Amino acid sequence: MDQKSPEDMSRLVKCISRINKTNKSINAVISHYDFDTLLKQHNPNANENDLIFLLKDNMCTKDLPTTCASKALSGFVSPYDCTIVERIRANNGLILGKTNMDEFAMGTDNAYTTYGPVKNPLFADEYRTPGGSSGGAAASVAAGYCDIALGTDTGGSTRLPSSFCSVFGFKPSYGRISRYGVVSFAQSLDTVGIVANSMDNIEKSFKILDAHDPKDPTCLTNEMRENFAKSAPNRKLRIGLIHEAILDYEPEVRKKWEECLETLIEAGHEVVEVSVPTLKMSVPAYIAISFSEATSNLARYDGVRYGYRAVEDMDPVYRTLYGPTRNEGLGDEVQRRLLIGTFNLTEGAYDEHFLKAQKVRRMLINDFNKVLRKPNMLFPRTNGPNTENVEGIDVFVNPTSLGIAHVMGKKREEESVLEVLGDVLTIPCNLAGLPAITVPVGKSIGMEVYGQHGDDMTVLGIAREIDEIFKYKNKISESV
Amino acid sequence: MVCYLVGYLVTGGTGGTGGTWLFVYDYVHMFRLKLGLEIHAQLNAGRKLFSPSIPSPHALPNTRVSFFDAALPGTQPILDWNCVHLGMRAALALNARVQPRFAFDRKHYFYPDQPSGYQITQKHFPLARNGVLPLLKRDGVQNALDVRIEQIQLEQDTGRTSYLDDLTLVDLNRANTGLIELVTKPDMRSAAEAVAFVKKLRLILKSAGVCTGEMEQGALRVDVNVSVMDDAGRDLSSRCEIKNLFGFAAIKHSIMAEFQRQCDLLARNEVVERDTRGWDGKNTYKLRSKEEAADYRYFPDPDLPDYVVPNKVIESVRNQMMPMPDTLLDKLTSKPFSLSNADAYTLVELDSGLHSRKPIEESSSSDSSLTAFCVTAVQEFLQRGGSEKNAKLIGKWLVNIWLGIRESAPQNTNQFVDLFLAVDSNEITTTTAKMLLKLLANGYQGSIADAVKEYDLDTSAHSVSELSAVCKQVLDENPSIVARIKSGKRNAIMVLVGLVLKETQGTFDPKLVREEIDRTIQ
Repeated sequence: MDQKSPEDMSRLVKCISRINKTNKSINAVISHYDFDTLLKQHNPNANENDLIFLLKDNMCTKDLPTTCASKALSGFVSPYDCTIVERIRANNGLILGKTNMDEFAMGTDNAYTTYGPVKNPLFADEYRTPGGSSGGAAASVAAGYCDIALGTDTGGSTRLPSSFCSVFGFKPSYGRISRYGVVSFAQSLDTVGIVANSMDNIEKSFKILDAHDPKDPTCLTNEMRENFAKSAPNRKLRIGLIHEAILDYEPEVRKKWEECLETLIEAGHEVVEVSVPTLKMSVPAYIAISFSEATSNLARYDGVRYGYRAVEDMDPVYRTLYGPTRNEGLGDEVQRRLLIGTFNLTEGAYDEHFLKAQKVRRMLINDFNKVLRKPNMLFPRTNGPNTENVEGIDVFVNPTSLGIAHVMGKKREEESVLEVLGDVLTIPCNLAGLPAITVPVGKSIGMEVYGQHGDDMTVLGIAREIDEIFKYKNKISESV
Repeated sequence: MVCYLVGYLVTGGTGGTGGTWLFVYDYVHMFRLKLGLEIHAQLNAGRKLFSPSIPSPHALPNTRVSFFDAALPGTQPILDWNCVHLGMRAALALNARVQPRFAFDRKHYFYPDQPSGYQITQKHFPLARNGVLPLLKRDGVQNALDVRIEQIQLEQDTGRTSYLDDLTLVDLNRANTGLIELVTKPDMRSAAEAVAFVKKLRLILKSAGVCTGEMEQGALRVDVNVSVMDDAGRDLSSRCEIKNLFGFAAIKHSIMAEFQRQCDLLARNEVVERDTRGWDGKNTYKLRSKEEAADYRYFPDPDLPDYVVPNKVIESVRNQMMPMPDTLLDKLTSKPFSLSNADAYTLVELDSGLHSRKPIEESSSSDSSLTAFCVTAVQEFLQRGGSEKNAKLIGKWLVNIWLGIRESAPQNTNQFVDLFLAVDSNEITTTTAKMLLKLLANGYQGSIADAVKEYDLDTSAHSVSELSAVCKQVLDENPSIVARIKSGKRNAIMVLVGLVLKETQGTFDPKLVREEIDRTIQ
């Protein structure tokens, strides 16, 4: 590479040189295009404003492997590109490579991966979690590897790492971005998430990706999209403070929250405390639903058509086919979750576990519908006409996590399934399909904003206001 | 009730002739057969159920496989509405209620021909429920009965596995092809009823363009649930399911063998376990028992929404439907068509083959069907002054003469009707007409009038003197027959009539011939 001063370097050169320099220790990028070729093809004068992307490794790409950070898919190269890759390319986006993740997006520390754990770039001296499962995506943006890293968000997998890495992490309403070619974990919850270093880039990339796709049966139709607001409302908002979300936050986090709400009140918004009683039950419901869907979705990894296959694929004791392949190919955490999911769906447990969880999910949606201003197009109000309620809440604001990124140690890694209990602040949005964004407000602290399904623009509007208040950007990403 | 079993003997007819099998088990009660069916029919939709691949039973292995069919990561199902419409047609043809809302569930099990590890099927919200298929005497049962159909559901077919030495080969061409699964109530009481049901169902599904009905190709697959009850309707055995029966003979014989097996067990005071069984051509054999049955862990497919079916969709499917076999058979066997049951059945059966192979988009055009032709020809014949007596010849000859030579309906209706009008006006004899019909079937293009002229077939063209000369000659050659007639054996005259007709190549009306012979003898 030419020796130029940093000011002269094109944005692409900056991203690549940062990856070359620090990825070895951060471990966020696990496969990428040949950088020399990318640079040769790139014309900095013409393409300086093109957005630079990294993709989570559960997004299918024709010319890079798609492994979901699992041995089960080691070396797998998809014969097709996912829809989001097509949309990015059609809009002159530049894709550099793929990011590390928790295996099949199951985890909250990005520690369960065949590629080795990701380290949080905000903490140079110690190994702290970047959050998961899109830890590689959040760490990449924080480390200045790209403008935008696409992740997925099933229970907070985009927002939690974004919060831990002090970047913006947006999970749009369920169904707005095509999931075609995005490997399913639990598709009734899975949402493509956007991690970026600024609100501008969040909005720019959302504009590119927010479109109906006939290949994804869960993608919102154009007809439904017509009901959604195209921009944030030009009025003061009613901001909800959910009683059940007042939890045992770390003092620094709580302080930021108070500061945030006070400033919003000063700006003329109204803050109202409301109750969403079912919030407390959302984590067990999430476990029942997501693990059940996962056990079904991951049944295809049998090594017959692609992916890893054991040398002797017959269990020596039980004489079952595929046992060794799946036992060797899938990691411990994935296996734990699949076993729970399998149990939930058995005849004896289905009603008490899976069905009950679905009922809780519906109750939660009803709770949200009761207090929110906008109607829900997917699940109409049960307590009255499905129209706007001017007394209702526009958005909710609370921290994305109880605390900052924790130090990783042996003990922490073994806590396994219980870790998801920490996701009580993010999970409800997945269960109800709500749009949610985390805005960096301090080192490893994010403020979460969420609102009614389809009301993404209002959520993004208030997120921008919060960003104006704190103007927090970590040093590295600011220079991208 | 505890039954004391003292032996049994056969008292009924055989299953094959439509009789009910009865085994006496204690001088008072009898063993009776109780049958329910589970049928899988492949939808002839031209597309797979959840992908745009075009299925074909003849394609090279793994050449009709989309990314979704192979369960590649990241792929999603897209429901093919042609399959849904065919399913609705089946439902309407079987008098079932298409549900206002349907959804799909996943059924899990590991097998190489099931690439995703689950089958997408409909357990909780099927496409249709509560159908009924009436079996009439003409369908081959002793007493008419209604067979109730519990539900009709859409589901994916699996791929195929085959074995070569120690290799298992997997062909995914068939994977994800649309099927309907149809489950009956245990309403049948004999193998004959079960066979009649499958035959009639097959005809209906073919006529509705739902399925090709080719059992050897696996387009229609039958599982039978067999159990034994006493004559008061009390169950004596657990039901056993015989899987994958590929033909009518297999259905019949496996039922009889399984009934025998269960009766033997019951007679020895043993318990009939609830098994899933196979058929080896001679005996049923155990595949797995209830205890070994897998827990399929059904749950709603999270990729697929609930589908709401507006009434107008059902109505538009109903409007596209061809008339069903029972309607056609009723019509064809009554006046003025007056076909025999067998002839009418032949027409409907041949038409069903035509409909079953048509692409779904064209299936409402019925121009080329044989029944439609038959109806049109008869109506035209009557309009043009033909008599009702000769109208019934049209269907009869269409089946027995025309279809002996050609596979499809006559193209030239006018020419065809002219022929029968010529018979009706005694212009030609029926014998001549039959010959002419063969001529037409072999592609004769001219008009009937031309043919009559060309081949000198007109009855009036032959003089009575010519006839009396032939009669005289025949009488002279057969003095012994003449003598018998004179001695009072009047029926012997028919031998002479036959000889005269043969001599004149059928150009004279037999009635006329008989009168002439009568006259000559006297």
